[in-house]
Amino acid sequence: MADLVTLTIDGRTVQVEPGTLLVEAAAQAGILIPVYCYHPKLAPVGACRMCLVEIEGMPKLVASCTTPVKEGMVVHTNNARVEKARRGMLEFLLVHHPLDCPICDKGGECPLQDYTYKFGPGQSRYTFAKRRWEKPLQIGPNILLDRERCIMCFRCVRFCQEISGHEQLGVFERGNGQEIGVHPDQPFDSQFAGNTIELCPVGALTGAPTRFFGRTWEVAHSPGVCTGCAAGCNIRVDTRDGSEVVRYWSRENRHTDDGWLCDAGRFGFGFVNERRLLEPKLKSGEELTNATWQQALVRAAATLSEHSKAGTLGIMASPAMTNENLYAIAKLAREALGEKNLDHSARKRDAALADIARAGREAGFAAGTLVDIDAAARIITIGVDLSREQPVTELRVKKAVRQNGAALISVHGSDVELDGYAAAKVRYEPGKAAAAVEALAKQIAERDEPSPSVVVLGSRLAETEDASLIAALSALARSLGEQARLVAVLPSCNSRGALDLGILPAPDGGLSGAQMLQAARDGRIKALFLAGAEPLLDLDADLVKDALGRLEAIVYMGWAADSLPVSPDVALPCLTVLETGGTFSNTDGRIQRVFRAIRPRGRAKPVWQIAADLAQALGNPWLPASVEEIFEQVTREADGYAGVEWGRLGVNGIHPRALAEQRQG
Amino acid sequence: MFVEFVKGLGITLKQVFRKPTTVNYPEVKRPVSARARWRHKLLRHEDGLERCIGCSLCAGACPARCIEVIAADNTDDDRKSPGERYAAVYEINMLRCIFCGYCEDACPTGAIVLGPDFELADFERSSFIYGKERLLVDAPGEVARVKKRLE
Repeated sequence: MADLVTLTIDGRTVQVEPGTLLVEAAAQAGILIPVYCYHPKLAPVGACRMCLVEIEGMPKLVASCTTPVKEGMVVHTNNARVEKARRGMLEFLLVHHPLDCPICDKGGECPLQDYTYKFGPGQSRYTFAKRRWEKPLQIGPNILLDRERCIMCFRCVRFCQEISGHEQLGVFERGNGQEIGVHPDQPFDSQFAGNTIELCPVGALTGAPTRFFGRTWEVAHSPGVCTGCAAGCNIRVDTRDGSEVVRYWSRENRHTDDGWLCDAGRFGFGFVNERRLLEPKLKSGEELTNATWQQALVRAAATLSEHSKAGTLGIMASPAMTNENLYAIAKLAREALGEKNLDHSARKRDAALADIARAGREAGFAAGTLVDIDAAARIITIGVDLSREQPVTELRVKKAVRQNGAALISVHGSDVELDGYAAAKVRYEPGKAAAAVEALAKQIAERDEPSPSVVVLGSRLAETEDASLIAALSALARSLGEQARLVAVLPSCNSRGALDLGILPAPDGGLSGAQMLQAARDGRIKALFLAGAEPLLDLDADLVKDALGRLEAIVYMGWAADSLPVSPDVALPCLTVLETGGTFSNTDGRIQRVFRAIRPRGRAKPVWQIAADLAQALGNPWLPASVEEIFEQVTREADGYAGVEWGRLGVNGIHPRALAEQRQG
Repeated sequence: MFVEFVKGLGITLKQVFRKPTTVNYPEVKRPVSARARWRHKLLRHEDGLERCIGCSLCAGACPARCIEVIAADNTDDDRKSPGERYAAVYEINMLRCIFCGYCEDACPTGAIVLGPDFELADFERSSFIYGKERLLVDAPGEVARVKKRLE
C-alpha cells in the first residue's frame, strides 16, 4: 500500500489508489460531487459536465469523472467558481426540461430534482418556448421514453453497449435536436432493458408495467429475493399501504446479481397481487365453492390419509416455495403420511442426474459459486441457455469475457446468445452431450494449460442425458485440473432448497413426478397433493390435463387461483413469500432471506401452517410457531446447513460453505 | 350594598333587551368568512377537464394523512385531465381531515380548494370518505364561486 497517491480535496488530505478518478476519490473522502453521466459500473464519458471541479494550476474547470488523481493535486469542489459552474450547468440542463415532476415516476428520487434544490438556480433566464416532443414513447415492451426529460447522460446507451451487449438504444441528431432513440422497427426489447430505468438519473426512461405505481415517498421498502429463477437476485420490494407490491428495484449483492435484474424478474411480482386464491374451496358438483378452513382441512386430511394408505397418493411440492415451507411439506409427507411418492418436479429426469450439481461433484469438480465466474480464465457452459434460464448470470459471464478476457466455451444443443462471446462453440444432438463433453475434455487435455476454470452446467441436461454424462464430466474435470469449479444452473428459485431438503422420491420405490403423472394415466395413482402448481409448468398441457382428469381427487394448495387445468377437489389458499418471509437457497447454495413485505391477504395461511394443521388432523401433531423456528430445524437437519443462524442471514444471505471456511481458518 | 345590587341587575336588564348574538341555527345561518376552509372541492378547467393530475402532492403534504390518490393514464379516447396522468381514485377521509389547507397549498394545478360548506355531519363512518363523485364540481362555472376566496 506504499504507492498510494496523496492529494488534497477541499483542504482534506486523501490517499487513494493510483488511477482512481477524482470523483471516486472525493466519494471516499465523504465529499459529494454531483454527477449524472458518471456511474461506477459504466465507463466514464464526461458528458453531463455536472462534476466540474477546480484543480489548482489548471486554467479551466475539469470534469472530475474523467480525471484520474495525481500526486499532490489540490482540488476544490465547492468554491465560488465551481458553484457558479454548477448553477450554470443546471440552468442548461433545465432549459428544455418540462418540470413535470408532479406526474413523473422519478419525482422524489430524482438526482435532477435533488441537485437543482441543492446547487441550482431558483430561476431560469430562458424565456423562449421549451422544446416539445411527443410523450411518452413506448420504445419497448417494458420501457417508456420521455425525450423532454432526458439530459443526455448516455447511461442507458452505455449500459446497452457495455453491460448487456444488446445495442438497441442510440443517440440521434446533434445539438438542440439530440435525442435518445431506438432504430426503426427495432424495439428496445432486451431482457435487461429494465435496468436502464434505474440507471436513468431523470424520468426519461420509466417502466411501462409500473407506470404511475404511486409516488416514491409513498412506497415502503423491504429486502427480498427475486423468485424468477435460481440466481437469487436480491431485490428491494416496494409496497404501498402495506397491502400491494408496486415495484421491484435492484439491491446489489455481488454474490448473486452484481446490481442488475432481468425484466422477467423485475416485473414478475404479479403473483402477489393478481389471480390469488384467497378462500378455502371445496368442489361440490362441478363448481368450487367457498368453505371454512375446518371443512377444507378435514376433507384434505381424509383424502390424503385414505389414498396414502392405499398407496395411490402422489405429492408434489413447488420449488418456488421457501425452505421452511418445503421442510413442512416434507415433514407432512414423510412423518404424518409415511409417503414415498414425493417430488418437486414432474419433468422427466435421469435419476443419477436429478441433482446436476451433485453429479458434477461426483465427477470430481469442486463446488463453485457464481462469483467464481468473475475470476475464471476459462468458462465452459454445458447444456445451459443462460439468457433464458438465468439471465443475470449471463451478464456475469459477459463481463468476465469482456473485462477479464476469459475464454468462453459454449457447449449446447442449439445456438445460444452467449455463442457471440465464445472463443469456441460445441454443438451436440440431444442425448449425446456426454460424447461432446468427452471430446472437449480430450482436446483441452492435449492442447491447453490448466487455468482457473468454471463449468456452468444446466439442469436441463438431466432431462435428455443419462448417467454416462457423469463419466464424461469426470474426464473434463481431470483435463481442467484442480482449479476447476462447477456451478449448476437449476430451474426454479428454490430448486436448490428442494434438493437439499430431500423433496425427492424415496430411494426405496418412491415415484418421481414424471412417474406419478404416468401412473395417474395408468390408474395406479388416484390422488395428487399439489403444493403449488409449478412442478407441472412447462409440460405438455394436454398430457397434464389428461393425467389430472383421471384422478379421483386433487388436493391443491397454493397462492394462485386457476393454475391447474383441472379444478381441484380441495383448494387451500396459501400466503406468498412476501406475506410470510422465509429463506431461499439459490443455485449455488447461498441461503438468502426474504423479509415480510405486505400484510396477509384474504383468508390465506402460510404453507407451513397448513402443513402443520394437516399433520395435526392426521394425528401427528407438529406445532411450529414461526418461520424462524422452522428455519432452525432446517439448519439442524438439512445437509450442509449446519451453523447458519437466522439472525445472521441479514439482507445479503450466507453461503454455508463460506461460513464453514471462515470458521476453520 | 343596595347600590351594587341595582347596578348588577341593571346590566342584566340591559342584556335582556339587546338583540341576541346567537341565531336559530339551522333555520338561520350566519355568513361564513370569505376565507373559510371547510369541505374540499376538486375544480375543473374552463373546458371541463379535471384540474387534478393525480400527483399525490396533497396526500404528501397532508399532516393527517387523510388523502388517498391512485393515478392512471389518460388516453385520447377517454381524457379526464390535460396531460398524461389523472386521479383514478381520489378520496378524503373527512373524519381525519383537520382542515389545515396544506393540500391546497401543495396542489400544483389549483385543483383542490377548501370551501365554505361546513355542514358535514352524517350517520355512518363510511360516508365520511369522500370520493371523486362528491368532491369534483360538476360545471366549470362553479370554479368562480369557490375561487372567490382565493382572490
